[in-house]
Amino acid sequence: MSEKVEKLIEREVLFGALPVLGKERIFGFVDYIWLQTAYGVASWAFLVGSLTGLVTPASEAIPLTLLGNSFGLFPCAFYAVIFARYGADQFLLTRAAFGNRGGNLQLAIWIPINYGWIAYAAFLFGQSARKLTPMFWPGIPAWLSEEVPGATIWAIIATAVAAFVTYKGPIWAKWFTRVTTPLMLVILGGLIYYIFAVEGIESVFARPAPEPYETRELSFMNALEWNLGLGFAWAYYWGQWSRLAKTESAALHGPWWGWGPVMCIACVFCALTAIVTGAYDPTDWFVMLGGAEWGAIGLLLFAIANVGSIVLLIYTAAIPIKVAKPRIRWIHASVTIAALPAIVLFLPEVFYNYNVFLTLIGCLWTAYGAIIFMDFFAFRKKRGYFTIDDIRDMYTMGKKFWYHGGFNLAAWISFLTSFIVYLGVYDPLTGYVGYFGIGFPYVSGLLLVFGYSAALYWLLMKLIYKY
Amino acid sequence: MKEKAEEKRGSFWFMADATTFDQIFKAELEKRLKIMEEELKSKGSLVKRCPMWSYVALCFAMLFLVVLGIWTWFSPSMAVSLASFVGSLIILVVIVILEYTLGRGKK
Repeated sequence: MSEKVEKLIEREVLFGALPVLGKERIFGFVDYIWLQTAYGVASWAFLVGSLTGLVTPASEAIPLTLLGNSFGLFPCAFYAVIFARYGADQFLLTRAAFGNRGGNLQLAIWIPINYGWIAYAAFLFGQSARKLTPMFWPGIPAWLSEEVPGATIWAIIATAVAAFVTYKGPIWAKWFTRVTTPLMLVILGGLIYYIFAVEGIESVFARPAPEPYETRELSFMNALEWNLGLGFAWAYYWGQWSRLAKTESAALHGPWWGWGPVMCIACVFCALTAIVTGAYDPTDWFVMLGGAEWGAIGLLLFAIANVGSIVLLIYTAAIPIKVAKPRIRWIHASVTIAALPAIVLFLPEVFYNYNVFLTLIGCLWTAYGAIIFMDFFAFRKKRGYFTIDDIRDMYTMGKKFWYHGGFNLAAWISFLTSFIVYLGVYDPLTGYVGYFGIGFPYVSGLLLVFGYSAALYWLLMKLIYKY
Repeated sequence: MKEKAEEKRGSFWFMADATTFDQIFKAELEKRLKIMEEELKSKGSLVKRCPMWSYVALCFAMLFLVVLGIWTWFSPSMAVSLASFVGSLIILVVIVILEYTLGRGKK
């Protein structure tokens, strides 16, 4: 093997898996907030804003969106500091709480969750494309312009393009998203213009919610639950980015603001647009608000922007896959594992149940965030967080975090039983109280899960491992 | 030619055999852990530590949104709604200013 190849392998090792040293960090305070805002403003923000606007009036939708997203992010912001302190990846330090093998199992759980996010962005591309193409090609076959199977076929095409861009490497991905991310901001700018200049902010505030639940409390708490679901969803994503922050302060504030209040500018204006249009699907808004010509431009920009979101999602999944299995071929990490299986979720049933995804699957990422939070601050902090031996142990899958066969029982019991508590308080499929018959809408299911998982983990660590 | 294509793709790992990879990986890990150990001993982190005001500022921003959220539960209004939106962005501007004034200390 040539010397050059060895040097390049070395570089790959450094940037892919090993701790990132202070002088190698790339994101300052403002850069980091901007980066996370650009990452956050995507299909998931548009859809959660739309859901919120459908059930609550503007006077409730705005504070709820801000509170829900920010509160979900809040506890995780504190643990982001630890990833910055050691320059280590999310799923590496996860091994301290879930066990050395358990950390890899968490990665295996998270990758299908990431397919869900890919599905929403891809299906939105599909919806845009099937509505846009008949405007230019009136004779288009019905199977390409109808929701089934048209949107699914277009979604597969978008994912294939995104997987190809990701496969071509980080430089392609960087330039592709540099073009597509501003397109999402252009669309957002269009919605802001419409709300202020055409509709008028007072007129929007005077409108009732188009599809509220039977009681105000149910509408309020369901909207809060969906926004909390999106806020907690980032629990799996902090470490991948925070290890590249130049200061701990940047790691603390960057994603909280970027995925929280600043990203909520998108959610808020989508909520207001949903109140005006009464439609859930953002691709319906463009023609409803702008007519055929502006609508076509909106659909085109939105379609391209969603491919950028898919690229970011695939790339974010491909990197931890390489960290867990460093010698895997890039095509398998980026295409075979991180992208292709998502295709099975490109269905209208998935698309129209985003609220269920945010809450039912959201229970998993909320419990995960709670356990990591409790592990860092109840057990690692008093030991000065991690020693060099701890870090080495996690890299080499040693004995220190082996617990029971590589799995920490305290973490896994807390993680898995959180579902029982969650479904008791809240039924994500209907949006009403769960089988306990008490709790929702006066108690948030996800906040309860966060408290339950953190408390049970603390108790079991004391009882089982005498921490 | 193949190497050049792989360089653009940013993926060279699979070109190494297992032994070469493990050797490079372990050597680099140890080198980095040693640097990390020194940095942690001297300043407690690989990067500049988070000052207390930064944690307090984040808690304040969160508290602000919680208070307005609870207020909205009891008495929703356009004024509270807009205050939560504009107020949080004002807090962000203040934090950015603080970071670039108070935050400029020694590492």
